[in-house]
Amino acid sequence: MIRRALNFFGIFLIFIGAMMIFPMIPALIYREFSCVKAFLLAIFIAEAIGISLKVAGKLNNDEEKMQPRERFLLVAISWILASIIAAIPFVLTSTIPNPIDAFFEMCSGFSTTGASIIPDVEKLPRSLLMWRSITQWLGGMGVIVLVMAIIPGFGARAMNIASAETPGPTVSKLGARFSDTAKQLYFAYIILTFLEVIFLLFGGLNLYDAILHSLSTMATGGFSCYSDSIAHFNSYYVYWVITFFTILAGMNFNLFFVGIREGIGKMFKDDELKFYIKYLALATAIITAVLMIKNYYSSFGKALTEGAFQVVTIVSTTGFSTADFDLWPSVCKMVIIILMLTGACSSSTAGGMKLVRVLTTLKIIKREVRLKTHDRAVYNIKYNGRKVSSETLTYIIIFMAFFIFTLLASTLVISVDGHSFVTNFTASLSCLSNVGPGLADVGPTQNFGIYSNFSTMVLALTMIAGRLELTTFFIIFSRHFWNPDRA
Amino acid sequence: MKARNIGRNTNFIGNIVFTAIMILGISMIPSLLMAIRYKDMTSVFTMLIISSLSIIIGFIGSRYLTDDITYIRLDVCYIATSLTWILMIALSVLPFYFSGNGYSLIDSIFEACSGWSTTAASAIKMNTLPPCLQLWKCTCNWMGGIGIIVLSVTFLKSWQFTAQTLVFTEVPGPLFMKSTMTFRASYRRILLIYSLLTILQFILLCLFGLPPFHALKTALSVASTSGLQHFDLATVLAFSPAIKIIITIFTFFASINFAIFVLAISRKGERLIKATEFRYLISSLFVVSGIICFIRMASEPVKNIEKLILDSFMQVVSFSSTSGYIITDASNWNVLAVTILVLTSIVGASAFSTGGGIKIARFICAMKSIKYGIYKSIHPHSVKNQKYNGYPVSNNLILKALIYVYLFFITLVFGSFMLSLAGLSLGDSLDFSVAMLTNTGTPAGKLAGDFLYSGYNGFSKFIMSILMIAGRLEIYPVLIIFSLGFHKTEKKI
Repeated sequence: MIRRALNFFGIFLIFIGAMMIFPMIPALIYREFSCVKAFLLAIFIAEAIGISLKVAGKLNNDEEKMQPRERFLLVAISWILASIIAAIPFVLTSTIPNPIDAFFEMCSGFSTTGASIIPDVEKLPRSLLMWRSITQWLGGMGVIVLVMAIIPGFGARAMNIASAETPGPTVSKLGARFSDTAKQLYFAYIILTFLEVIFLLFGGLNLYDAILHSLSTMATGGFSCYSDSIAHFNSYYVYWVITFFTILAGMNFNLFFVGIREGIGKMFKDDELKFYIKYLALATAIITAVLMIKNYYSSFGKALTEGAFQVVTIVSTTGFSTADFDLWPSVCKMVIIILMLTGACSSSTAGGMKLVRVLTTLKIIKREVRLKTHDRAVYNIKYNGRKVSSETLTYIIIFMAFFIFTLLASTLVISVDGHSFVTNFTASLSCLSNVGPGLADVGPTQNFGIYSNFSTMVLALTMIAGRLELTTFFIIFSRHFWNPDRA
Repeated sequence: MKARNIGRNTNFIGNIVFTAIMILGISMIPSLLMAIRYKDMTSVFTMLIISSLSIIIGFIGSRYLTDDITYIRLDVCYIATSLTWILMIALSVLPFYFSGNGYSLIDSIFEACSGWSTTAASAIKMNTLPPCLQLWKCTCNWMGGIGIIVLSVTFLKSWQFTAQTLVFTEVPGPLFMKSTMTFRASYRRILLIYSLLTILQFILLCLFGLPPFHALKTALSVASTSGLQHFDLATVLAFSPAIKIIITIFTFFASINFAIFVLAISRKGERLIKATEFRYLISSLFVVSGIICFIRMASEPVKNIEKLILDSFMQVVSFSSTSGYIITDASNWNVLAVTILVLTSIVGASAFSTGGGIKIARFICAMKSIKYGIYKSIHPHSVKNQKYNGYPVSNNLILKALIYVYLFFITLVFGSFMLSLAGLSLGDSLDFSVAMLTNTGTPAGKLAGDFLYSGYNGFSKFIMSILMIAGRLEIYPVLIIFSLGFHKTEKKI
């Protein structure tokens, strides 16, 4: 088992190292030579460790099948490893001298959260900012899925590991082999990113800005190279382009293929998608209405744009901002909290509880209410016309419990720093759902630097736990995990 | 008078409702006497009319409608409970509204809901209420604590009807715990215990120096885990240690599963020791108090360590039982300590007690569910049954506990949303929503004490009233009322 793990980590690190070549391009273009040196050193470290690990754990196909529990451990450690290695350039160039803060920033990258401890983003070298967005893009579809797509050979085992990475009720197989499925998902991902770059170029952005923000959008990450985020561009066209692509990024990617193969009509029959659209519309309507009534914006167009943008960016857990929504009326902030809790569709790059789970849980509660009055009746819960098995229902219910528990535990633990409850709660929620900004002292114009090293670590781990959909993360803490023969 | 048969279900509902009205009428008599004593003529008039009419109508109605019943459908029971509670609250509003002091309707509704839900939040400062109304609110607290349904079924004529199904629509607690209560005799026993505890507390408080009227109000409020709204914070802080200890002890008793008392009396000691909830309650009280002491020692200047420990313990008992009274100067407690306090109130008191919150039994089951979930992730094809209190319990029931936890959370969030719509700030919306739903009454941000809800608009008070009742009746009956209005029974899920 250890051999297999080492082999896996090795390939992983080699991959991450290779990815660090990309930010060197803007480093060279913008003549940030200290960064070039830092990246080269980081690549060297990654490749050195990676190759030695791979050599140490030579893959032997006769070994026994990978246990389910090994999958979880592999995935969790890989994410932490990736964040550590990716943090090296930041520490080496002293842009984020505190390694814990750098680790937090990279966790925020790979988990596509977008929370930052950097107070003044614009002072950072452009190559490093590009690297931040690249980590988000990679983290978006799951780095492991990426590895599977490019490096075949793990076979059926790949599916096992990846299902640990993106668990949830729907993992439809698009291709016969898992690496084919991954390739197809990535194809969609790349095409959409590319399209967004084109659209943004038309909006007047330079190539650097367009690429960086497209990477962050499709990953639903939210890192920008400007402190005022998207508000910097001050253009309705740019706002709506990003809104459009964010909506897409929050959709179930499998549905794109359904749409291509079986027609758009079939795509829109999906229960989750229907719920997503209605949900977006309702939230936008409420926020726009309240903003208009309370005269926060002079024109309906502005209120709608700001409202829609924020709703879409929060629900997809991206976290860009065009307005300081911490200044909005409390109703809007409450809606934002609800959006942060639910997240967007499953099998997308978004975080949160995922709408399919929210929808199913609401149906479960409706059923409970019915059962209270007709206790001898049998009600089945249906999703997309098919009955949902009670086992799946169990997993969904338990996931919700994990989510709430982690949220409250994290809020509690970081309370030691003494910030207000709303700050702690929204900070934890934002990290758990991988959104990015919170409210109050971690609002869209603030940053997470206000937290101590201890709390920063807790929040970083919360981000990873959230990205890996909790069960993966918590399984490590069970005695049954370490001793599978225990009853 | 010959009993008539209008229609079986209507009969049944009517019987319960009329009995409840009669009980309400009887319970108003002490407040009426108080009004007479203080020569509050308007209230005398109001209460006399309400009380006598209730008793007469209730008595005639319940005798007129036969209660020859053996089995009643569950949804009829829910309707009976919901209808009864609505009527009780409606009738309880009247003494406030017609007291001649110009209290607004929404304030009266708020007070009535606050009384019956054992929240003890105040829109009108309780000290300024006429004594008869103070006693009336405490009476509502006391009845809301034990539940009007429990009170009513003890007066049912038919012994064949165990009223099990009916009582369970009101009694707080998860489904599988119902098996501990099987006969009507149990309800009477529990009512007896409840009354005895109240009387005992009253006597002790008088003995230790509290004036009788205050002692009565305190006994009624503490036994129902409502709070100490009838006192100023300054008065409470100035109580002698003996009084504080009495209050704490009886609050603790009120937050224990009443089945424990029944077991203790019938000398089933072994089952007592196995009582998971009880053990959890005791250990959590000590652990949480310990943690809070530790936090306080780290963040505040310590003058008297014993006082710190005792005060922290008493405050934790107050919130974990969801009474919500402030018994120590908690205005400068660290935000971590306050968060922990609020979380204890969300976990709540034991099932089958007068406390609110999620209930400890459910919380334990929720934790077991989580462990079960992890276990299933590691061994997906295994089958493992859970145990509770030593008895096996199906995984399905454990999951229901989890579903309720989630429902509670959703109601919290939705309640906060409605309150923010009513104009409250974000922090207040979240705070008040928690305070109302857990029936604590004191928001986390207002631990400085003497907090009044008078400054908030009518819509927010209305939302808070609904949240209070939802918390007391454990949300489902409130949902059922709303769903009956909007859905047909055959609608697909």
